[in-house]
Amino acid sequence: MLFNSISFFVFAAAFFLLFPLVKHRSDNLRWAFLVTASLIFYGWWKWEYVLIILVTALIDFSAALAMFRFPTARKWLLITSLSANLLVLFSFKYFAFFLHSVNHLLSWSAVSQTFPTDPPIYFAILPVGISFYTFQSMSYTIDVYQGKLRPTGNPLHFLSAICLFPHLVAGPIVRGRHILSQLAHTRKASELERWDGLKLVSIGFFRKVVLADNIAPFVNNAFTNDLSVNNSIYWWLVMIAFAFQIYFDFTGYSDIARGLAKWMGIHFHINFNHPYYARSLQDFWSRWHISLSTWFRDYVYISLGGSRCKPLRNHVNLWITMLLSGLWHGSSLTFIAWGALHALYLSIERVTKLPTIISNIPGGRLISIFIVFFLVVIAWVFFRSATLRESFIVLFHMFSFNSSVELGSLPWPDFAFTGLLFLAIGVILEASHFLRIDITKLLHPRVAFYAEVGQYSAILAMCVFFRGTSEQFIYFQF
Amino acid sequence: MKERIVGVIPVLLVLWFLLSLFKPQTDASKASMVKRFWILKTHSEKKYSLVLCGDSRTYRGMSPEEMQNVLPDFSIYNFAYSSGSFSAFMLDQIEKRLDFDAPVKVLYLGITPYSLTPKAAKDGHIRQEMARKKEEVWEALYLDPVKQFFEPYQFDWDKPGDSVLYIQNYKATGWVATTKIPPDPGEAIPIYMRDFQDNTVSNTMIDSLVSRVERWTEKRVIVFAGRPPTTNAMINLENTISGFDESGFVRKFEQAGGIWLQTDVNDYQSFDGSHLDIPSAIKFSTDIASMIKAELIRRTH
Repeated sequence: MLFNSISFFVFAAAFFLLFPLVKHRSDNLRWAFLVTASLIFYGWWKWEYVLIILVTALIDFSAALAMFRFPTARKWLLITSLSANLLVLFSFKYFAFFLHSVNHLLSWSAVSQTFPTDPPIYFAILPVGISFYTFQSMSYTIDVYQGKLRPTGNPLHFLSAICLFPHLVAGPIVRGRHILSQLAHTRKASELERWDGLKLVSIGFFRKVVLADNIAPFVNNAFTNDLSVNNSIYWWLVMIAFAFQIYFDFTGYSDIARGLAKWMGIHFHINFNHPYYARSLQDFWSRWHISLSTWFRDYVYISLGGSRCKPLRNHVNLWITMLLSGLWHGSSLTFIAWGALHALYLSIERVTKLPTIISNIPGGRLISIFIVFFLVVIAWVFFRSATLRESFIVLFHMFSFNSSVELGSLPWPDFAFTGLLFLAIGVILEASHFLRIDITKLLHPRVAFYAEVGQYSAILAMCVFFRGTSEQFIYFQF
Repeated sequence: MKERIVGVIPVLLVLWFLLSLFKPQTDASKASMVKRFWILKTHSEKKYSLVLCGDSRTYRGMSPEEMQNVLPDFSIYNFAYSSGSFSAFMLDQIEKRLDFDAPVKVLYLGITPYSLTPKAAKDGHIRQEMARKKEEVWEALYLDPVKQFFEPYQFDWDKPGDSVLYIQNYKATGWVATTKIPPDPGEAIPIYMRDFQDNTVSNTMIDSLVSRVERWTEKRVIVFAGRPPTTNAMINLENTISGFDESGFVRKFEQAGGIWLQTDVNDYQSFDGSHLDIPSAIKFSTDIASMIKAELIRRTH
């Protein structure tokens, strides 16, 4: 079920009413409750999804336990666990793309054989969140293999960590060593945590249903109906709008997940740290989807040798990591191109050390922020486009600066103006963080109390009355 | 912190109430309201002592509220539908809305040539509304008003080129007060030219209607009828291609016991060449109500 749905509100109300009644009884009861509730949440889409997550989770649980008990077989057990996870991911997510690519390659050769690209019926629908929970589960077995984590002997404990509903379908990707210890003990959320949780959920919904969902129709319409519109300003507006749409959508979800977890007394790490303030692409990747970028850093980049090898090998490791990161997002050449472009940016940055040079000039901080944003927006073209051809069409429009269509003569639908209005609001709110404006800190504590209550009440009211058309979270498709 | 969490609840409820109270009508709420309007017209079991029947010229052109000012002793309802006809099926539905226990029972039939054609006799609109499932009816009548409370605000941006204003106010009495600014008196002509292609007035339907008027008259129902005013161009078109013989119809209708109410089309204005604008609909309603009152007074004397 979606966070922004009536069924979720009913589910969450029932969960938080019942959870205090069970959490102090026994560890097994608490974990069983968390697992049951989370599987109900997940199975609401399709009950068959529950089988997939249970099978992969139990394979990893068993493999990790076996690794601990039979250390000599650790390597083969790890290979088995990773293979099972990657096989499931490949079957549901990459099978059709793989066959399509093979057919394409065969078409260049003399071989006349082609393979059918329609996946078998059971693999036709991508289970929601499969990329997230398989990575979560794989990090657990890898950490056990590397001796960083002692495996849990209780399947309910393990399942509650993997299936916990706030982070199940769109992250953050929580490491086993981080969450298992929190779930091992009963912990009552403090009043401050509850208030912070409510604030996070409010802000998360505001970012998602008010900002992202109001911007979305403008962007979607451009890509559906306006690809032939040759106007640079229009397409820069569209891509800047998309940059903020995907940011508000994803960070909104992460905030809601963190807020809900806080109410359970569980702490998730921050997943986004104002990425459009990054002063270099490296800085950007330390701020954007932090849980995924650190996963790739720790389990791919560092495992390949990271930066502890010769420069050329270092760049190769970087490219492999970024290409896999692109591929993780979807089985399409556009995502691979997106990953490749970021790899190119990072390679150039490392070689030229441009961010350091720019930061030393007057106004360098602001200049570097704009440059990074500019480069990231260009990369988003590939991320948003359905095909490479579409990407190049959009890029051509963006850089043609020779508009054949006047901006004023475009048939602007109402939702375009609404989208631009909420884009402006979102940009102003982000800027307020940049400028470190927090009005409540300027007020007397008693007044600040009323101001904060009013502020978050207004945010929640706006989530109802200024919400956009209900859009699925973008990252659900991954 | 607990005070903050608890404090949010009343402030939120007040904000919700205020934001909903001052919320302009949205497309979704308009659509919901229109749906409820037609569902109530079709599924309500309430009966009235004066029922107005016909097609869109009647439901846009006759205001029960205005008629009520002239005829305060009656309960009046506008039971007309889009492309409404006077088929046997429709006449049965009309009977169901008339209160046969009322001391004085009146029907007004808005006779247009199109309402007497085979195409109109399909009664597509009312049949579509009658086919709605009970759950859908219940949801529209009881759940949608609650859902509308939480409907989001809608932003309507005035853009250059937005020059036509089409107003439709759906009244609980079954009247849809309509106007278009600026009016376009020629808009409906091509539509009616198309509607009458291979679709002329049915004499069978006229005979069936007349026969029902006789039966109603025997049951002491006073049946009035008239041709809802439209433009001279439309009347000329209808008289030419629809096959409607107004004088012949009036003769049969009056022989069956009905009372024909004649009005002057030049007293009224149409916004599209077929339907009356709001001031004209009010005037027409008042005029018809006055004629009905005069006839009722004459009968009592």
